[in-house]
Amino acid sequence: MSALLDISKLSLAFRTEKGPARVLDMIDLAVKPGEIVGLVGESGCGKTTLARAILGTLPEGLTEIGSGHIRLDGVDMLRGGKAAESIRGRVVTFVPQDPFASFNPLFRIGTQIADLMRWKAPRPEGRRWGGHRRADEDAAIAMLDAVQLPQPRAILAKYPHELSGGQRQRVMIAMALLPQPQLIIADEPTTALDVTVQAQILGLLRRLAVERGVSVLFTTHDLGAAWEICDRVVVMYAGQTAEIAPREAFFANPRHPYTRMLLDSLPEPGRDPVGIPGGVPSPLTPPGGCRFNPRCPRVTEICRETRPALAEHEGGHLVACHHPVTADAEALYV
Amino acid sequence: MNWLSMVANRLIWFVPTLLGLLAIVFTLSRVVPIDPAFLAAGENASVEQVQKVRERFGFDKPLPVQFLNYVRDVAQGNFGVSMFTQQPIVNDLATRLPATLELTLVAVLIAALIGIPLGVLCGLHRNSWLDHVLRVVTVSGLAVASFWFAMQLQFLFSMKLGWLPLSGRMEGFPPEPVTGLMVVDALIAGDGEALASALRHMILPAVTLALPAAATVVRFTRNGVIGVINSPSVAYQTAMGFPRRVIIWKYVLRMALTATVTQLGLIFGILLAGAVVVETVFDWPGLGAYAVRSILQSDYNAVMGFTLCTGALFVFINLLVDMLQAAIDPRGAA
Ligand SMILES: Nc1ncnc2c1ncn2[C@@H]1O[C@H](COP(=O)(O)OP(=O)(O)O)[C@@H](O)[C@H]1O
Ligand code: SF4
Ligand SMILES: [Mg+2]
Repeated sequence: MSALLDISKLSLAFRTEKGPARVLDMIDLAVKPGEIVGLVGESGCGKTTLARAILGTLPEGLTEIGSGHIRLDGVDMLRGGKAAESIRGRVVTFVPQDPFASFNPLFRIGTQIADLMRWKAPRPEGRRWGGHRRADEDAAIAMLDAVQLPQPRAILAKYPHELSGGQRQRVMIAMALLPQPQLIIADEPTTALDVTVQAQILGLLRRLAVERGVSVLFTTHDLGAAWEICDRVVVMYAGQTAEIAPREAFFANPRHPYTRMLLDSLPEPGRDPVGIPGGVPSPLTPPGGCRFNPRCPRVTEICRETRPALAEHEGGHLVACHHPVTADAEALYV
Repeated sequence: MNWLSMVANRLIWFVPTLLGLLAIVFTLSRVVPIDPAFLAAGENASVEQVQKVRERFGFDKPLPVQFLNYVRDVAQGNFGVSMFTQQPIVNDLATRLPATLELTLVAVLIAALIGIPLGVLCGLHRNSWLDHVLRVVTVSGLAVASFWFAMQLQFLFSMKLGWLPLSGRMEGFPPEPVTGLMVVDALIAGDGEALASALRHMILPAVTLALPAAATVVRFTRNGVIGVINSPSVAYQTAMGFPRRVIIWKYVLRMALTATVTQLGLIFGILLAGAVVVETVFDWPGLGAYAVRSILQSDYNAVMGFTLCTGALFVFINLLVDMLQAAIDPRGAA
């Protein structure tokens, strides 16, 4: 199956007063139709930046593209412009991290949904104007129902502040689905919510996406959340792709030292979590070669000099490491 | 909280606020190291005469009693008698208040008409040449003393070009007073000549008062627009592919202008106070000119009356602003 989203060798820096912040370094990533991919990484590793790059909404004039390309449904999203704007909200939609601030507080939910549909919902007869209001409203109500919001018609008449965080995020998911996109980018969609509703929202997102055959790129710093809903997991460290693997293989057989340490640091009965000493490097002064090298127990000279390329191990399990953890070299510390 | 309960709440606070204002004005007046009875009795009065005046005005009673008497008088619309004209202060205030209100209202209108469009333009085209020029103009505009500016205008437009009257409010007979606002009264009377005269007299003082206010409105609106453009809700709408023009002209503008309207109310209050200088320079028969004269003559009751009147007006305007704010912002007044 060919990729819906194809990112290859993407390097990107932000201009800052202290020099270029090299936030993404040779990122490779692909999402196939209908697939749910988890993009996992610590805060500050570049998840939101990658999401904005895919959407074509990086800050103009502040961004320097070093190399690579992003193709979404055949459109080059790095060039931005009209083509990217027409893709946004139609082929790809977005669920934000903060459902509190992402609505305009002065307009009713119904108005904000209506404006989205007016510009982005598919029009079977090819007409953009007139005669759609009723149909749009019916579709919106049906979708609010699908995200399990009670009394959808009443919700349309409400202002954002009258809804709870969980309800707002359900509306956001409904808005992401309404234009019938091929890909939804959900950027830490549950981080701002109560722990109790997080699992519900994730389950809902997965179920609706699978039912409709929509792909999801879901970013998170929470491995548990990735385990809950993803088909495939991509681990990023400081702007580099570390490891890509199908969910089962990923959790059973992590190959990258960083991934191993991340999994070991999860609390688990009968074992003390192992933290990862040190901190994430600043994108202003990233270490050479593999960016994990200052914290890596398996580091050797080559790690500091040469960036490891993504190499396929078995069945779609890709690792970017000079000394991956394998059956023969099981111990993390060498 | 709904709108009505908000308004009720503010109205309940209105009375204690006014009482507090009365207490402050009263205390200040008693702290001044001038014996009011001595002033009122005149320079050549004997000790007995001063004592008589003191008893007549109740200055010999204990302070709390004096205060209660004062509150009772004010509540009955009795602000005392001018110690110089022997006229009830209330009459003076009643004839002068409309003049000041008219001048200030027109000034706020001019400030809004100039300031809002320019502020929006600067906010949308941040760091354009227009933005840079207006930044210099508004900063220097705020720094220029208004009496100097007023005199420059008088010199140019009245003395040199002879286009506009030098001072005053009206030539010939004023229209039948209905509202006290000369322009409105001229319209009601259908008196074209009076209307033209009123407008011509209005221009220079109103512009003098309006320009610094317009500078504030430009900066406030500009920063408001920029703040909203950088807000998460605009980032969300952009990511969802809302057309840029819909985002700007519908969502951003509504947000920015809601904040500006509040600002205009506050500016109105500040201009009421600022009118003192302008009214004096242009010999505008309003409250400000009255206050200056009363202070110079140590007309004690008149100064108290003026302070009370503008203070109450300020409180009242704040009440109106709160109500307006709550009416246009669905979240209600904070
Ligand atoms: N506009 C910007 N200018 C400069 N640096 C930025 C900008 N946006 C993000 N960064 C930096 O890029 C890095 C990655 O940020 P982000 O993509 O938000 O990470 P994440 O979403 O994984 O937490 C951080 O170090 C952040 O400081
Ligand atoms: S072994 Fe080398 S390449 Fe692999 S993660 Fe450690 S530092 Fe990076
Ligand atoms: Mg982020």
